[in-house]
Parts: sequence; C-alpha cells; structure tokens
Amino acid sequence: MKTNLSQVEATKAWPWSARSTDWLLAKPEEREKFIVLGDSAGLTKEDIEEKVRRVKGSIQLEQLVMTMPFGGLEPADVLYLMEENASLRQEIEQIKQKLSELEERIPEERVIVLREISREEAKEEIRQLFLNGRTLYYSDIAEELGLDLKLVVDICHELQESGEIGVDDRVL
Amino acid sequence: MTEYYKLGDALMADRIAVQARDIDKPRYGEGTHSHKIQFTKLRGSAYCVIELPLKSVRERR
Repeated sequence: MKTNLSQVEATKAWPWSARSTDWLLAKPEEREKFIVLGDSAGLTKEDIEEKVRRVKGSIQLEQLVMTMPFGGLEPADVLYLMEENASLRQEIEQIKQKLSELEERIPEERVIVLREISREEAKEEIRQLFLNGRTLYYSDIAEELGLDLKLVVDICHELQESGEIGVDDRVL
Repeated sequence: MTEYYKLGDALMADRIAVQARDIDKPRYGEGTHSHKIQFTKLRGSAYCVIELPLKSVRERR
C-alpha cells in the first residue's frame, strides 16, 4: 500500500486530517469516493492506528480541560477569582506577620525543677554565686540554682544581715 | 523584712518576683497615658517579693 507522506505529516499536527475537511466540503456525489477509500487511502495499518491513538488522546485532553476548575467559567469570572486569590494571599501574609508579632510577645515557657536541698547547702551555693561579682535579683538566684523563691529571700536576708552581701546602689 | 498575709494587703514596686502553683495567662490592657499593662492572677501558695539588686560586699570594696 502506498503512503502519502505529506498527508501523514499534516495529520501529526492535528488529528483531524485535511481529508476529513475535504469530505465535508465535497459534493454529496463525490463523498462516496472518500467513504470507499476512507481515511486509510494511502496509509498503512500502523498510520491508521497512530491516528486513532491521537484522536483518543485529543478527546481525553478535551475532557480534562472541561473538568479543570476554570473549565466552565467566563474570563471575567476567572479574573475576579485571580483578584480574590491575590487579596486572600495578601491577607494571609498580614495574619502571618501579626501572629509572629504576638508570638514574640508571649514569654517563653521554661521549666525549672526546684531542688530540695538543705538550707545550709542552699546558703553555700548562693554565696558561691555572688563570688563572681555579679549583681543578682532574688528571681535570678532562684532560677539559676533551682531553689524556692521564699528560701532564697530568707537566705539573702541572712547574708545581708551578716554583711556578706548588700544592695547594689548603682542599679537602683 | 516584713511579710504580709492579710487579705487586701498590697505590694507596689517596679520589680516584683512571684511564685505560685498556678499563674493565669496574662491579659493585655491599656494603662494610663496609653501605657500597656498586663493582668494576671497567682493561685495556690502564691509568694511575691519586691526585688532587690544584690551584690557581694567584698567585691564592691
């Protein structure tokens, strides 16, 4: 069977061959010629199968486009949706920014396990803490040593009375 | 050092250290002159002390 290569090349670009158009444009009496010969005229079996595959692929693609989100929408609707999408994205960004600001304001939670040690041990540890010359508040000591705040206040009061520590006037 | 136990006793200072079994989440509000202010509540064995900056006396000399 002879193959018209130019015809094959044309059908690669579009599954509906020029032959189909010719058939539609042809006079009724001339259409018989196309029917008799069909699309197989000048084509091998493989070419016909290839054409069938392309036509099926085209139909599937069309069905896919129809089921896409914008398939049945007017261009104005698509434009409106795009604007809506942009404004929603902008709002999300603003919310994210506000959320991060709020998160910064929330104090970080830290678990401090209070140790149960004797009063004398605690007193010695507080003495050691003051040795490096730092200015410390009750809360700093309680946090660093993991001690009960009331115990720290009592011991610091004792150390103040014994003259070991004193109020740092430069900070006040 | 004075300890206040009576209901209605108050502390007022720039810096108060607190400790309690349960502390509510702070609520934010507007104070005087548009200063922001926070409120919270301590519950269960609450202890508060006005903080003092303390330093070793030996170090200062």
